Amino acid sequence: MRTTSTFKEHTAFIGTYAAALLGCGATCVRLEKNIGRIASAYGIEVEMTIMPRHIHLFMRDKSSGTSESAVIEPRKMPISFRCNTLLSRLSWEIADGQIEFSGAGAALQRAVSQPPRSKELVTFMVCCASASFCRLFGGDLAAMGVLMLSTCAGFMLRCHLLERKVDIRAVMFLCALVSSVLGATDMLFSIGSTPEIALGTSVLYLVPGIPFLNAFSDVINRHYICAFSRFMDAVVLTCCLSAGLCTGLLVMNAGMFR
Amino acid sequence: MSTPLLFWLLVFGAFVIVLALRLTAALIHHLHGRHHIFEAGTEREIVYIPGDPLHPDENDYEDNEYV
Repeated sequence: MRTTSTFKEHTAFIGTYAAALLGCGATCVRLEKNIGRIASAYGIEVEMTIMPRHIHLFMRDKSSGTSESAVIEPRKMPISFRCNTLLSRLSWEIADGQIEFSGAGAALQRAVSQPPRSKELVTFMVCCASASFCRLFGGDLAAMGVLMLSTCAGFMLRCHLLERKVDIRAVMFLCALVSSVLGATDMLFSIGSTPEIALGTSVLYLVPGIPFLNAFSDVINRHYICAFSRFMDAVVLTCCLSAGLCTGLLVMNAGMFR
Repeated sequence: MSTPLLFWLLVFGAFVIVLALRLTAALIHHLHGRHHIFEAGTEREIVYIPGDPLHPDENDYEDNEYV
């Protein structure tokens, strides 16, 4: 029979795992599956209530009947598909018996403390993605160049402000403002033939796509409270983005304010 | 000077200054870092198979493979 201390260690591990998985932007269905998989491997029955700001776990040892309840806050970390993947892989390794409990704790710490990708490379990739979107909407080379410039400025500002823990809503507003002002370069200096496309696509990189997708995933899996919370988060960010864009258009005397 | 142009110059100027400062800092860091164009890496850097542990574990029996 398992000792109480081991059971407590297992439940503490599951709690830390759940906090990390919710913090890195996993959907509710992934949380349920991964936590269920790990708990099952350790001979634990788990019931969970996933709320937007915390997870309530009730765990019961199948062999001894000992139970424990925990309310966990999600770990504060940026959305990361890489961390998400590593944590999912860890759950399978535990379920398949490929990793001991002691090793699992170390693997969990490694997964959540992955060094961030090169900032310069990410900025460049985001600029390329924005320019591609511009081309997709029919923008010419001048519009693509201007868009790369505006995205680079906005994205650098975004990274800088987020590193300094500035509120995400203020960050979205300021980045949208800067990107829209620089996105209006074509219009201001009469460069190229598609200045309105450069302006319109200048804030696309700020659209909170992952929260929207996660919200719909949660709706499909009937986690309505979480879905609504994620959706509202995304809507608020989109409103801040729109406010920044409108201010930029107003200042530049462009678009609908012309 | 019109308001849009003034505002554009302000934002663009700030961006150029920040970019120049960052590039200078990166250049200085690179020069002091003494990065070699060609160098011999460790065995682990050359022969890496996806799935290999990313960091050495102090509790491992043989750590030499990471050196």
